[in-house]
Amino acid sequence: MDNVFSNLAMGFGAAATPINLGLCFIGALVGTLIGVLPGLGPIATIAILLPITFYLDPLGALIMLAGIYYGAQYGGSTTAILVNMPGETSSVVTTLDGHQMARKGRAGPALAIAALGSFFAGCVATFIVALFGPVLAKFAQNFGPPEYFALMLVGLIGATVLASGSVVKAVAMIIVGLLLGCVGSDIETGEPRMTFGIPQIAEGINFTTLAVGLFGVAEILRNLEKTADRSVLGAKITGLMPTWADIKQSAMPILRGTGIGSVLGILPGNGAVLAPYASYTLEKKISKTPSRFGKGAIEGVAGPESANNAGAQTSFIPLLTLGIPPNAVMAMMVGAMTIQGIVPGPQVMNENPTLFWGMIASMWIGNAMLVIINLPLVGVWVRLLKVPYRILFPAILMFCCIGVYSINSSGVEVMLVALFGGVGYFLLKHGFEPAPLLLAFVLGPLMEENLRRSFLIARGDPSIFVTRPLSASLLVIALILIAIVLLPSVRKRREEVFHEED
Amino acid sequence: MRVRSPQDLVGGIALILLSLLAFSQIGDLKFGTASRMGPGYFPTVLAGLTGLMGVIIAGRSLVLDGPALDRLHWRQALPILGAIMAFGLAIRPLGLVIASALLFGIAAFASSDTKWRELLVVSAALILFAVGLFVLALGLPFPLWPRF
Repeated sequence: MDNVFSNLAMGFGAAATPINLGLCFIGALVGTLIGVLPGLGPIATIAILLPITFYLDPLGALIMLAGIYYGAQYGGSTTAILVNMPGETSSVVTTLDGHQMARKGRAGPALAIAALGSFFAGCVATFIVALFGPVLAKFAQNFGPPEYFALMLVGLIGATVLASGSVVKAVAMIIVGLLLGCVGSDIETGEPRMTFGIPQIAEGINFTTLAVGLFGVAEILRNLEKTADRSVLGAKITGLMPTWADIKQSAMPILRGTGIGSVLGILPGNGAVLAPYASYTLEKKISKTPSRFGKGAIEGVAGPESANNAGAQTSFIPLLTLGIPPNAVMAMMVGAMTIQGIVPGPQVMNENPTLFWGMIASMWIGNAMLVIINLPLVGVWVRLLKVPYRILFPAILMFCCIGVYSINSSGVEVMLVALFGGVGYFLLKHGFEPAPLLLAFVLGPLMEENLRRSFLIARGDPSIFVTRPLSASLLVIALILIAIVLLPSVRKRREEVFHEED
Repeated sequence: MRVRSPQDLVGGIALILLSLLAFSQIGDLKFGTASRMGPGYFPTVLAGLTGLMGVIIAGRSLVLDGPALDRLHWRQALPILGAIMAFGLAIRPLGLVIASALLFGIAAFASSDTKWRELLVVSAALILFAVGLFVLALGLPFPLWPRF
């Protein structure tokens, strides 16, 4: 325990330099901005900004990118409450009661509870990362190639179980992601594989190129189809402060939401998206007056909003301790670390303690900044919602192109963005989720490497995966996950949960 | 036989085509054995699985009901993808300023409510911003103007 505090103190020292504070602020600000704007998500934004981080030092880069992710959880609620449109997928449920509160003239308390609940959840989740991170990292140091392979398998299967939409299609996306990950030179022999003779992908498809195309460009295309008019609730927001009764009503939902979010964040799959659903369902179920839900119950804002922020933050645990991203945003963070020459994994904490603890400390600082960015300044964000999309999309498009070009000064890679953008559009139009593809694309080369090493160690005997207790138990977990998906009752339930999303 | 889920049928066929494309590229990469996997091992297995998933999803479309095909909005998609291609082609020979101008000009056809005067102002402001941020502040080695 003492150690945690001395480490955190070191982290605060590293995160509180003027430059890092500034980057943390920029990250939180950009996160809020894209959170507020529907149709621009954290995955696309981080992908677009990834090339720029090359020019920052590793800690600063990660602080800024992390700020974008959890900042988006704050910003998303503002749009959900005021426009009845989720700014982020993680704030879909907030529209249910948050917007009803706004209709009744209680937009202020709804916004305040969402921000304060998120802040509380952020603080607790930061502490959880600090507490469990080192334990898990120590544990992971005993992992050999078979364990890593099994762990990544669990991660990928978990990502399909907890993904929305069709399981079969999610599995297909994972396989395609793994296949795309094979493109480039072979890890052992250096032979070019599936490169179509294009020199720009001789070393593999660039992660940023793929992510910008699949998410950034495809999202623009989807948004241009909808001629949505955003009717921002015109009335001035008065009385931000929640009443004492509001706070009393919200306290327990915030605590429960934080708990649910923290657990779901660590699991593979997108915790920040799933946790608010779980929290909302729970609050409705245990409420004495479930009929109030959907008509402006403050619990329906407090719980889910705490849950999504907690989930966003604890999803850093598998990345920082095991080096395995649990969702597509964390896969993006792997990309950022790789650009900086850092190999994610349990060794980061020992070899680079200021990076690990500095990042954790920055999360707390960032959350404190976000309360200020979101509450007193809410008027600014509301005005931003009135900027028409025809002005926004050229700006986003330009950032996509310049960002990708700046990685290798290669025009061909920009053209590949157009290709992947078209692919992403095709996927959207045919009910395929691109997030599992990206996750598998990042994990693919790691899986191949660990699989080949495992077989080398075992001289080709596949029983190595079941005779080592750790890898065997991980594989059992994978089997259980598959069984869960196939259970008819769970399938039905799953469809119900995700049906509300549409 | 009736197609019950057109989206799945098209998606499945696309996966099968992707699998064939991958196989054509794997060519004569060494497959190796389980104990000494060659460079072709992983790609071959995955390309096979991709094809298998394609067959499953396409086959499923004949049995399970699913949504109808969503209309592809070419009027939006083509200008956006074309604008990116143009930027990629133009950035080296023509420099950042002209490539960005091309990007905005072509992309504008994607939006139905483009106001050309507004576009001009917004484009100029964005180009100035990009030059300021990427070239002056971050010092990226971008060509600004055409090099003759």
